[in-house]
Amino acid sequence: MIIEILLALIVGILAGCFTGLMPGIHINLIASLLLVSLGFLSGIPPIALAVFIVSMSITHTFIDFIPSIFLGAPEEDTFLSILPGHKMLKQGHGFQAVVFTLYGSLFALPIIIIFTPLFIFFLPNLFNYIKLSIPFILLFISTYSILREKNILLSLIVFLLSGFLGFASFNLPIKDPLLPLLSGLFGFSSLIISLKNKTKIKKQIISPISKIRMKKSEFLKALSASLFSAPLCSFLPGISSGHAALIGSEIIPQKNKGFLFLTGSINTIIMALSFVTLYSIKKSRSGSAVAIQEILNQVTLQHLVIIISSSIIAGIISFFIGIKLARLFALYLNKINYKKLTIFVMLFLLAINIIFSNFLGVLIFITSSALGIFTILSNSRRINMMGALIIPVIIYYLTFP
Amino acid sequence: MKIISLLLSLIGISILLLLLFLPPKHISSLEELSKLKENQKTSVSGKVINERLLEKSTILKLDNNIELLCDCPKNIKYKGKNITAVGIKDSFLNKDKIIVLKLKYDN
Repeated sequence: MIIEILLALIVGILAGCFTGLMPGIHINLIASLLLVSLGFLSGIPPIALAVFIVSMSITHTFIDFIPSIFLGAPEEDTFLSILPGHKMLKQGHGFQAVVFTLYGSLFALPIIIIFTPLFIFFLPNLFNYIKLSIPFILLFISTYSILREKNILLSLIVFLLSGFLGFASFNLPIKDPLLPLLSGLFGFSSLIISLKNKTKIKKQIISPISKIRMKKSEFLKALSASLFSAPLCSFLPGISSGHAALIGSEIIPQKNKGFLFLTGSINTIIMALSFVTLYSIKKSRSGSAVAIQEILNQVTLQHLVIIISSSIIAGIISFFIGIKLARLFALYLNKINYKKLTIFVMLFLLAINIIFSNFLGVLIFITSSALGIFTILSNSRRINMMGALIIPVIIYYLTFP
Repeated sequence: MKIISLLLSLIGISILLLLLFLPPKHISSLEELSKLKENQKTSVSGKVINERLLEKSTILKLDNNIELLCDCPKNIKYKGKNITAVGIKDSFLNKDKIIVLKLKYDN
């Protein structure tokens, strides 16, 4: 049994590297393929299959920032990292930007260990109270964020247009609506602008890890924000890592490095705590948790101990793999013509949207790209486009409390 | 470019919202349900022949074998009632069903 679990852990880490590096290939795709093939995998102990899902998912949260930052090709969990990440990439600090997200994911591991018993003992009683307050927290955060802007009307327009677009995307027959929505709003639009502005990427500096540091105050701010927002958002349906990052960074304002740390830690915490939520309140909060529920039927405390231990081991290994991969990306970026690379990534994003989506998905991709371009050219903060996720969630919670 | 991108996004959003408010497609068999796209809005009518209570929701099976997943009040018994429901198609693990958004029944 132990050998099977260890093998599952290793294969899961490899699968997580693949899904993390390939924009558009989500862990849910591999998890659903695994579920469909359960009949053929009857010889493998269910807990080993669960460990495979866990290690793949945790590894994915470490690795998926690499294409987001180096290529501007985001996924649903990483799109916010593009904003400060691309800025650092232009200055030649893309490697550093990825390392900060990896630090965040690494520091998420002890947070997961601390929050696991708290979730087991307190979450069943607190769940309904927190659930009721979520639309109001999001309304408050959005209003505060818009009122803080110089041009309030413009920000409101961007927020509302994104909201209408998000609402339509989630309610029309589109497979995986987040792919065209977020890759258009945050990925394709930035790439078009960098092509138009003939953005020059400085030679990437690969500093030794020991020299990649952030100020103590910045670290503490980012850590407090993730301690507050990630556990809060990890058990609520419809709330993504993006919402958690927005809540965390609005309550405790972050600078670039802190924000990258925050998005990294939130991503990993939310994924790991979704497995704990499965045990404590029997709710599957992520696609991976749904898969684990299907495989194990009933998650026991013994299962949970194995799942959390696997998360920690996979996390530590993924941290080092992430550094190696980021170093490779930075090295190759120095040798590649950035304009050609940008065109290649744009064509790739277009292709995955056509392949994985349908006509409506492509329409959303074009519309969201146009809205993203308008937002950048109007000098409105791109965080206002979070309306695409916030407005549908507010409507969801107000209509299905 | 700024104006063009704004116009393009306004046109796109208008088309999407228009499609969203089109009336749902009515279906009456499992075969018709299987032909719908995932997440497509649909309406269905029939007599409830089986009712299964889950922790938070209820599964209603109609006489045309279509299954509905509904967050309906637990105090109402639907078995034997004629209902009309509007919902969206969901096919988790290759099993087609309708997630109910609105439900009406004859007393």
